[in-house]
Amino acid sequence: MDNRRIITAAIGSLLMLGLVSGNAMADDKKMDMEKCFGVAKAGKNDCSSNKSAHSCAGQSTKNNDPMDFVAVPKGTCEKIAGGTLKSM
Amino acid sequence: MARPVTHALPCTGGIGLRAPHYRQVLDRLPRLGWVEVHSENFFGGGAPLSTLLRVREHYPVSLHGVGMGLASTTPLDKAHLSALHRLCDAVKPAAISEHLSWNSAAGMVINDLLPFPYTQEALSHVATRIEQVQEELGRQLLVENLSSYLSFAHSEMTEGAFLAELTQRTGCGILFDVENLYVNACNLGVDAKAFIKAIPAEAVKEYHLAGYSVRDGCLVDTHDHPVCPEVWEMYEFALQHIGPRPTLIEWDSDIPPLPVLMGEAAKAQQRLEICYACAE
Amino acid sequence: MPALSNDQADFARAIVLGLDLSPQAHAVCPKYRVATAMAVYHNNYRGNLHDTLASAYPVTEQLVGKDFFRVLTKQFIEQYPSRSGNLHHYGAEMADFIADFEPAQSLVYLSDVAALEWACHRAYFAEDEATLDVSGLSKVPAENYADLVIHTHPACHMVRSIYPIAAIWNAHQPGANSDFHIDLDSGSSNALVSRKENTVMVTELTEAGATWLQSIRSGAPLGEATSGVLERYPDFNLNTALLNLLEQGVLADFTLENMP
Repeated sequence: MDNRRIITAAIGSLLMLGLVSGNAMADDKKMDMEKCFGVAKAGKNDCSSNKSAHSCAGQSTKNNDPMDFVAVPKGTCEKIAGGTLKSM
Repeated sequence: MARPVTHALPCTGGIGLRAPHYRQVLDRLPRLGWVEVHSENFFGGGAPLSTLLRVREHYPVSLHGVGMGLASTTPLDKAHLSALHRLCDAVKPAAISEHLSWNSAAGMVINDLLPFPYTQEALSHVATRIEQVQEELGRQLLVENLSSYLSFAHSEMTEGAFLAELTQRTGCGILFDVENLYVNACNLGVDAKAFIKAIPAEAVKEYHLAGYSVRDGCLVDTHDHPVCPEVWEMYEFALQHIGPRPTLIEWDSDIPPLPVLMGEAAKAQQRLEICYACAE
Repeated sequence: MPALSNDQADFARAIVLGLDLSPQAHAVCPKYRVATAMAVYHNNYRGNLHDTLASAYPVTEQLVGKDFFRVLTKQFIEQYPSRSGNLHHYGAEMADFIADFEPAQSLVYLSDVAALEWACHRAYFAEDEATLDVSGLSKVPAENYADLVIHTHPACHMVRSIYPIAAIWNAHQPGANSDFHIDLDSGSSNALVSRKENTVMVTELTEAGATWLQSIRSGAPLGEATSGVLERYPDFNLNTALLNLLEQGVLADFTLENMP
């Protein structure tokens, strides 16, 4: 099959799909809307002062915080094999 | 039958609607007078906007902006303003508000609500910016008084006088945040009663109530507690001098279950009803 | 506006650097020191940006742990100030930042995971746009199919990596089995980000599918993109690729090349 025929066939099958699935798709869509609604992520813009306890009062802003140098990733990266090996 | 609500905010208690309560509100449609959301969280499309449009079918919505920087001296962010315009066109909110603050200087944006000296220079600048925003949106903007942790010795007038003058020059309304005034009274010695008398009652279109926390002797506007008795008292004083207006409970951190928020809104509602009864 | 803009520039620098406000600023706090007020503003500044990054990069945070993530964001925030009044725009440079962030060098895949997270973040907030109207296609004569320029939805992104980043991302989603093990040698990833019914999804494309979509996204007409891919990947199935992308809401409007 040359490329032209491949394209004609592929678009042709899209058109077929469009003809048969019109109404069925509309119903599915409604159900998905209900089901997927709960995944809302909280917007980050708000008008209150930040509550986080890590007050930065008096803290140096230079990159000389000793904690920065001892920091080692300690999370789910442990479950990813080869993650540390590859760089060596 | 759900139908779009197009009129102004009802003069009742409302709540700040935040992500943890979207689902419950839409599933159960509790009795809420109205709701307010932060405008920027609904810029763009997808889940946030579609959620808000569904909420809008059942409740009057107020859009409360935090990022316009009305008092910034950098040029107004046109992309931000047109995003707000598109949101307004989609939501057709019952009210739209911003803060009397700035957020941009020296090539940076500070995503906070920052205070400035209340000078004649600032007054004409902010008035021009409010006019630009109102012109773009084609409607009145409510401007909220600020909670501030410092003030400026070279201010030429009080915040109340500044707001009063802004309403005169631009026709904007006032969103009177009672807790912000209380924070300023405690932190900065602002005369709360003088503020309430200085702002034109007819320009006040909405009240905010919220809770604060204390850090090193400074009241911080964290919106993470119930409204305190002193703020309720100040609200009652405002109701007497200004009159009843739609009143919002704001809670943004350690957000409690919906019934707690609704309970706070009911307390505001009781005071609004007493206020109406006295007027008759 | 000299006085007001100078005041604001001084104030902004003091907040960002965590400094006291200079005495010339005439800042007054009757009940506590000006430094206390400035600490509140500095804390707001850093806290808001940290929380914003944690919201945009939840997988990155889980991978490195909360403490490490805090060190990482602290340095990121020092390097990249915010440029928008909408916090959802903050954090675009994270993948590049991580690539150069010395303490994370051992996690060779982390930068690509961050790039995928940013694509998902943008997809979540992207503008709405109609997906491909198939009935509109039926009005195009078959001899012009090769000239079709298909646009992708604003929520569509593709992130290609030599590491299995789509598998890593999916393993960290709510509801996924937390008892997973991923071998970095399990292969490369052509992660496709799409949004269907307002839900952002990450799926895998084949090498051929990714090459084709990349070509389409750069504006190549259907004929040119397809021929290019078939030369390198004779097994590429255009039919399946189109149906899958249509189903995932990736395909949006189309135009015809050389026609208005």
